[in-house]
Amino acid sequence: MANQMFDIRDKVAVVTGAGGGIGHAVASRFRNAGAEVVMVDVVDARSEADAIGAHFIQADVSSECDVERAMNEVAEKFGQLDIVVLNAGIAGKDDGVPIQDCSGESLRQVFAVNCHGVFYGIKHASTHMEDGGSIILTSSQAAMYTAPNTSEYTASKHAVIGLAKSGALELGPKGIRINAVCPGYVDTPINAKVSKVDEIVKITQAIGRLLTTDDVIGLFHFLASPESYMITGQALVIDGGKTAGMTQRFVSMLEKI
Amino acid sequence: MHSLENKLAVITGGTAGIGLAIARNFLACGARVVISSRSDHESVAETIGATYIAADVADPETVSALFQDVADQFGKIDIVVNNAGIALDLSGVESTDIKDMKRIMEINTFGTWYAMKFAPQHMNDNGSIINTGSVAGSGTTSAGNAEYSMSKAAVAYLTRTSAIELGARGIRVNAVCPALIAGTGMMTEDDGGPAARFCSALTALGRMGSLDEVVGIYNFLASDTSAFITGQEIRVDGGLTAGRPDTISDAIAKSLEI
Repeated sequence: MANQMFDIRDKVAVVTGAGGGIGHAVASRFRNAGAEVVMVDVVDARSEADAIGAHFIQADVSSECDVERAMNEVAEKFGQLDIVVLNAGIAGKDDGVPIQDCSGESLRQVFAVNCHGVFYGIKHASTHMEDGGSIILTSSQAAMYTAPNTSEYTASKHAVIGLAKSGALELGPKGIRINAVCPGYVDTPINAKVSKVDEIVKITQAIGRLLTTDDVIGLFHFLASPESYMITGQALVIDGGKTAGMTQRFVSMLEKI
Repeated sequence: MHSLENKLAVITGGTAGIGLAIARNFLACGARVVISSRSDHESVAETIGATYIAADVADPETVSALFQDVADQFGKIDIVVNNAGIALDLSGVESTDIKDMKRIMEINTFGTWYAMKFAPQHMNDNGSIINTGSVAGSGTTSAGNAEYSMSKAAVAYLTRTSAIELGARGIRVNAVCPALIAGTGMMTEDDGGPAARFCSALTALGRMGSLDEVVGIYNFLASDTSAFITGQEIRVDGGLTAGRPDTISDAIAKSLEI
């Protein structure tokens, strides 16, 4: 029965931000599980797609036209759309900058990709989806518990959860579910600027190691599969227990301050 | 990909409802399963190919003995599902008997706490503990449901602290928080009765969940694929906690017109 569970064979899946990081790992996982996969990215990821037998559409998720075109192309080519992973996201030029010094330009860019991009994805994918369809949004642990100097990213990832909830209410009657995944620090390019993060997590997380893309893809697979039909409008956190609370190591460290 | 092959699982409240459905699923995925309940259910276990060991989760001695017996007979445990629980008929705090309040706390909350106290020493590292919570303790509740809600809210925070305490051993602890599921001790079939209408009005997906639809998350959390998820309350609720669907807004509008 293990092989019959979490079955996504022959489903059609779109993954945005699939050129690297979590998106690429999810696309590979879905492909290994027998789904047809369309990778979407603003940069050319055609060779990454070829390497795993996936398709590629180049599109900028912050452009509604691009997103509509991409979703229509997929629907025309395959006649179905079952799984949509809206993962494209940026930290923004002002990542690490306090609010007082943030620029409007960076704020707009972060929201354009992280929020508008997700919004357009929901809008234009859902028209092609049917009962049993699953939309998965990549949010972040920052939407639960954040840090200073990352206000634009944090706000944008909170908005993603709002879209999961509203989307769930509107798409529920059609049997389409939509959820957000909130990963902790993952060892991917978006976190390259965070120094000593591998040491930090040993103190702050119950499971004291860095999250890898391998850890995260299992949750995306679960949410894509029929077994998660009744789970919708939720934000699922995968963070080694950081948001659960303080570890003994953390408390001991505080006592020494 | 999500194998439970040869894992040893113990499921309290495992002889009916969600617990039994989980037992069947785990067995079908190659796990060895021990199911437990208060009264004699050997025959249930035999029918599905599990082992039965009696225990009253409200009695710490029998809980301790349960995990000790499993370890003695079968070896170290990989998966613990703390599913035993009761509910009460809806009744405001002022009219609820103190003994009923204490009883539900003893079974739902203390029972889970006893498992957290006694099970881990008999578990392998990198194992998984899954507590059955509820949306009533992790999301939204209702008048008349105080004792059940608080018993399950307590389980949610016990889940967090145990996740933190056991993290160093790689043992993760999570709570599955269902809304109304047909076929459990607490909920009749999806028969069009009041509970079913309640679900169809209140959830975006428009109906009660079935046992099949709640088993998958337990399986996922039991397997190594979920190794990095811990301390979480995962709601299986058809969108109940996401917000108010149009059906409810329409119903409210209608009732105000009368």
